[in-house]
Amino acid sequence: MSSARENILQRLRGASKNIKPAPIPNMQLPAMSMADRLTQLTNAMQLAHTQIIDTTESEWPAALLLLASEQKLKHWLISSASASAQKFADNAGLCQQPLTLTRYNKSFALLKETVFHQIDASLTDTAGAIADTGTLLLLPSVAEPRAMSLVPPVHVALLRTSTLVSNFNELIVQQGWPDNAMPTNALLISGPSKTADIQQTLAYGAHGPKALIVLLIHDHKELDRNH
Amino acid sequence: MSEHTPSIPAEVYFFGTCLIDVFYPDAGISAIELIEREGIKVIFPPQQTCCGQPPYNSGYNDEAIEVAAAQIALFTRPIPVVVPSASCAAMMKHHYPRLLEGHPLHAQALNLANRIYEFSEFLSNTVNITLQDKGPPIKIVLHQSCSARREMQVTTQTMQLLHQLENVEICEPERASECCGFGGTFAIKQPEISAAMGKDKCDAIKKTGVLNLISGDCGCLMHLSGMMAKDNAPIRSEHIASLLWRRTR
Amino acid sequence: MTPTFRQRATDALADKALRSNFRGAMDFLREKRASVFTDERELAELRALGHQIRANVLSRLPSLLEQLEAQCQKNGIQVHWAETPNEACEIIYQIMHRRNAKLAVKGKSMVSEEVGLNHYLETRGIECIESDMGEYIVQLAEETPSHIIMPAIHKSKEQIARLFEEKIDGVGYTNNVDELIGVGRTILRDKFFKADVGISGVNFAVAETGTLCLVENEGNGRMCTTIPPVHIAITGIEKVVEKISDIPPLLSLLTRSATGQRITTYFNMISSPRKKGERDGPEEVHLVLLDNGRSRIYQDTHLQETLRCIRCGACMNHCPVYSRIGGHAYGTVYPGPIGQVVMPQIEGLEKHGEMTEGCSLNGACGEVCPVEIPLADLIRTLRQKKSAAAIPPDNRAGIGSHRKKTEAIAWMFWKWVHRAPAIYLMVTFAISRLRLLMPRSFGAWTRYHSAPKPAPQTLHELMRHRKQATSKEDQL
Repeated sequence: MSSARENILQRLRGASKNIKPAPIPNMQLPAMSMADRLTQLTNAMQLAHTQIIDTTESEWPAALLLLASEQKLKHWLISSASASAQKFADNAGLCQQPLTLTRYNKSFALLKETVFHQIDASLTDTAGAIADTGTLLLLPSVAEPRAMSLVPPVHVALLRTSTLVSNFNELIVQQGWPDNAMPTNALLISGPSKTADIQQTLAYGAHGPKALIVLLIHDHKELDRNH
Repeated sequence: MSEHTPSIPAEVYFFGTCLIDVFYPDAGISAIELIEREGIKVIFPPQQTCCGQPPYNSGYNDEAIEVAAAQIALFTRPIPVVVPSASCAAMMKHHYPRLLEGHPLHAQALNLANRIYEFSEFLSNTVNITLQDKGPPIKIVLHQSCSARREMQVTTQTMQLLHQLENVEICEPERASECCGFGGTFAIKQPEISAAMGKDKCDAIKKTGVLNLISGDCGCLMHLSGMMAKDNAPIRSEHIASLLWRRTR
Repeated sequence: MTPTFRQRATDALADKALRSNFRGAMDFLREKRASVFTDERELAELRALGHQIRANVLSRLPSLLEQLEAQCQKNGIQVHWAETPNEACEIIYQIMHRRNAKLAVKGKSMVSEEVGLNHYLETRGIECIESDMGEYIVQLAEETPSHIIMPAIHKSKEQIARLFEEKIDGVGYTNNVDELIGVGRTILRDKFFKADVGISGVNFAVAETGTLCLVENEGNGRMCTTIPPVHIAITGIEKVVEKISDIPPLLSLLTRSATGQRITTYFNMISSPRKKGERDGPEEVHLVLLDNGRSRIYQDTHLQETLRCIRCGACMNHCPVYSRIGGHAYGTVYPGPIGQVVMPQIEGLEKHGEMTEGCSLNGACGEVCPVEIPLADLIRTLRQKKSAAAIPPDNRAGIGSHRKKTEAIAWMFWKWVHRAPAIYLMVTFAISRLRLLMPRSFGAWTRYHSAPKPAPQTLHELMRHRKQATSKEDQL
């Protein structure tokens, strides 16, 4: 089959090309103020059925426990090592209903059954977010594997406003790509899983989470957080 | 969109198009009268025939080239060429230079392309015409052809002319921007699809309740009025030049 | 004999349910797209940018493919090259065979449809389940997709409800869409759980970083690329882009043009298989780069524009022909305007030349194309090639395969009339004088139209009279 590669490349190289590379115009997208970013993020997320709970660094565990008891989310999948998972675990006993926390601390093959069939919700961190489209950036890692934001029916994500950028271009700059190597898997998530494949009728919970809930931690320094 | 000539020209060529020649000569005469009334001399080279679009759109470029070359040779003076059809105008403006690539007349084709004006565009942009409506109140549906919309991009100019007629009310049928299904030889080669598109367009026009159909393209008019007539629908169709002349003379 | 395009189109036009399903869907998608492109200037700038990015890719296609391959390999992604559909299928089969795989789950991939992967694997004892809801419905109905983005767009929810009732054990009739999706979710979750291999397409492959990008809403794409131990991605060689910074404008153009979404639920950037210490993700990731005629398209500097396509489907959503006849009438994997351009080029004009006739050259497709492909011009060029008189020695493209003697003679006759003013004047004069004797029937035209009536005098004549009259006036 290696001849296929040579044949294809040879045909391509031999072809006349009338398209000369031209400098790509830099389309300047306006950078938004923090207030605008928050407004835009909220609007875009609401349009996509992402639920937002406004909170703070100190209050989010309580907000999460309230959510868990209100929505009867008993069995949680959490990170094996993150600080947020630890904070959740430390506070879990305060919840009005007993919670089971499963840490994603072994290989998927060993946890697959639990992850697919027993988990009610997962909690993950986020690496940032795009205001323009109401999009979370997740960078799955050893501590927070890929399936956490995919398989459980409810995905709860912690987002800090200080990581919020205006648009996708800014996110690439924020992450330092491509100078910083691309992570194994980088995910932009903009709502719960959905489909309109049956007569253009929107239905949520196609294959991934049926609900995406963002705990929005207002930790940025600017003064316009009251807006 | 064409660059406007800075001042109103003293003379223009008129390319009548083959459909107007045989089926809608009244539209041609009306267009010429309107231009002449503005003090512009209209030159109608009698050797003109067709822009060559039918074979070009059917993939018969050699035949199209010969006929196009014959037209190019007729419109050589550096004055505007007014064409009362967006699709023929688009052929001459956008497709001649491509069609005649490598042909001895290529430079002339380019030169001609820069002087092509669709009729409404010419009256509205170049002449900046003022129209005084003398007719009784009517309602019309304006069908803007795909060439008028997408190739010549003269829809606003056409509307600008009609808006000057104070007793004329313009109604928009649903899905106004969708093709009527004419497409030249398409209507002959794929009559079923063409007719399905035409029927939807006719239905949308009928639904407005308006009995006057106006267009700047006689191909669409012939197609739609032919379908309406087959259906005994009492709709009167007319080229925009005829309407403008009839109501302002 | 297989029915012709015209026959299939005629049948589709007579199918009332199909007509109404497509009309509703196309109106919906057009409106959705318009709702996210409200700023015309921004749209124009963005399309020009998309055009330029894709054109630049094509200008450096071979070197970008090599760069993509090198980066992927550096990241641990195994790269395979296939010249033909069969080669691509065999590569995928061999990977699965080596892993002793019996069940594959597949995310939406038109390239996998193009190579006929499901059938190839099925005949070799491997079950390949479509997991995109639309694709799943189509597979269940033993049909093919009728749209490249929304595969089951030809079906109403009632038709899907009956299909589920009939084909899935224990499912009764319900036309509640949430319930229907729930059924699909349950069945397919089990497949994701059990699958040995996940297969996906690729929307953009970034050469600079060796990253495979997938755009989707359902999460099945993520399932296919995350849960099974092996992930095989298949894509056409033109899908490469140069840099990660090219992605934001292309993604925005793609999702807004396709479904009127500012972004899809998931944008999945895969740059490597599971790394040491990581707890999930596939152990192996493979990328199959398919040529299948693309390098031949690349040879022609005009037709090369075809390869800018990012497969958003906006051209078909806005096509007045597709809107009425639907995707199956084309009889090809890719329907609509892009199909009319791609299919005759990859599978030859001889086979697919006729479909280029199913176009009124209205230009609605090119007007909405996010990368400004002049689709109508390309269709016109293919018409020219299929009817060409001169046939090249190596004619795999099928040049001249549809040239008909009668048609060629008719155009030659037409040319004689129109290039010689004297003959033209005679003919048009005759038509105007014989107007009352014109036949009532002109074949196809008069089936749907009343016969056109020539005017009593041509414009040429009227202008001659006018000139004579003015010169007389001048003399007086």
